[in-house]
Amino acid sequence: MFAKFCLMGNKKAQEFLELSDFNSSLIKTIPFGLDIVDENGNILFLNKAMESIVGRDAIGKKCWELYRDDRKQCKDCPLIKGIKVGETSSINSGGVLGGKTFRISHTGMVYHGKKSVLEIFQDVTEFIAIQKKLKQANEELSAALKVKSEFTSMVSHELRTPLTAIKEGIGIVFDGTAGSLTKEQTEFLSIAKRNVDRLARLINDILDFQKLEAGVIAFNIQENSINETVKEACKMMTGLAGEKGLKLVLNLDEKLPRLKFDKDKITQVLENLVNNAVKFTKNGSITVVTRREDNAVHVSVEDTGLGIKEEDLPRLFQKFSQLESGLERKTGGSGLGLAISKEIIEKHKGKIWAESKEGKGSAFHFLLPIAERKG
Amino acid sequence: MAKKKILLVDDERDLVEAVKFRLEANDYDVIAAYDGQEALDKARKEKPDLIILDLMLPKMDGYKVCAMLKRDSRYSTIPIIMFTARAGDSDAKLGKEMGADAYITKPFEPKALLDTIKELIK
Repeated sequence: MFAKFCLMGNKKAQEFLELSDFNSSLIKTIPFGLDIVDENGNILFLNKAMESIVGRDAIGKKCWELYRDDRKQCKDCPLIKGIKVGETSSINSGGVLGGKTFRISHTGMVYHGKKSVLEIFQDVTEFIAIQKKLKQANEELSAALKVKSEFTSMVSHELRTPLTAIKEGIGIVFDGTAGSLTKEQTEFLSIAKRNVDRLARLINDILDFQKLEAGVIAFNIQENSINETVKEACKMMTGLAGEKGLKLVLNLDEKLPRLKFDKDKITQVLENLVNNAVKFTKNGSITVVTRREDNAVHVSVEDTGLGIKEEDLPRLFQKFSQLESGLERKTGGSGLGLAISKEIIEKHKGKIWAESKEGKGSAFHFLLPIAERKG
Repeated sequence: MAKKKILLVDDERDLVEAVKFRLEANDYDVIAAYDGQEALDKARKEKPDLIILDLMLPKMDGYKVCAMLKRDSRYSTIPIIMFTARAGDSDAKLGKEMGADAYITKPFEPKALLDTIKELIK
């Protein structure tokens, strides 16, 4: 070392000393055990942190004899494969220091002329325990959602049963099958009938949403044309729009690739969005647009309706969210349509959002990712 | 011409009363049954022109009744409309597998029921 020192110029010597200083400070400061072992696992060097882990008389002893509960070499010990100088990798070693798990990162190097391995030991026992707890909690949550979903199915069936009898009872009187009615009788029966239907829709939506949330709905993902799906969904909606004197316009990019999605479910989303647009638009038009956007297809339903207040925007896709104006409830919505649409789009790994300016209309957008073709 | 006979099977008596009234007002003869076993017995005895069958029945569920009738060549030609909880569900698929000719979800639009009956009854 002294010879080397003399041979270098002053500047180089200074750099050398600084590097040396840096290295020793590094070894002293890192909060992990560090050692250097030879090809046979004998410890050649260890830092203070490692000393407090395995004891002071470690030099010359085999690392696993001091460190492992079973005193045997680690299953994936890097020495088994032979040392490659400059190569770094890591293994997890359990059954260490009283059942703990350590992550050992190691690099092949040359130490005092011998091929050796530098090892750094990180205690990951707690981390692994937390990971396990998290996995368990997720499994419990999943199971709970399924139980909730079964309960909801049962309840919805029980609710539908008397509802059917009520609907039939009212219907028979309302449409004159049981005799003619006065104007007032017709009017009030009509109110009852409307609300029976509303209740039925609400029950369906709750069940739908529950099942989606619990992941018990099997999605039928097939290759489909999004434009065809849009056209079919809108065919049914054109009548509804026409009744209010609204135009339903389609602006579809003909060069879109075929996507993989569940046709029924995406139709449900489109119907929900167009239905909402019709509900909240007094005059003008509703436009459905499809276009390519990077690695996805972008679909938007734009209307010239009332628009949505800025403060209502963030809560739109939540369960049972109703707008400030109460208009949603007045028009018989269940408050779940958008929540259901969000679940469907997100289960397709897509994104759904809304943009609006109060008084100027709204636009509801969703993205469906294009599946990467393999090969 | 003799009136067409419909066998109406549901354990909810209120609903049976209402549907029976409507069907009779539409010129059908209606026989009621309130459980799976009664449904089978009456189907075999009365040989109706059409059967409306609910799924959840005591003694024997709707799927079983449907399957048994469809397997018997004496009754397999009788069209069966199944009342299901929700279309598109596994209920409907299973119904079709059991041989049901159509299914109606509850609560139903009266026109839908009447139209389906008209289509299936010969």
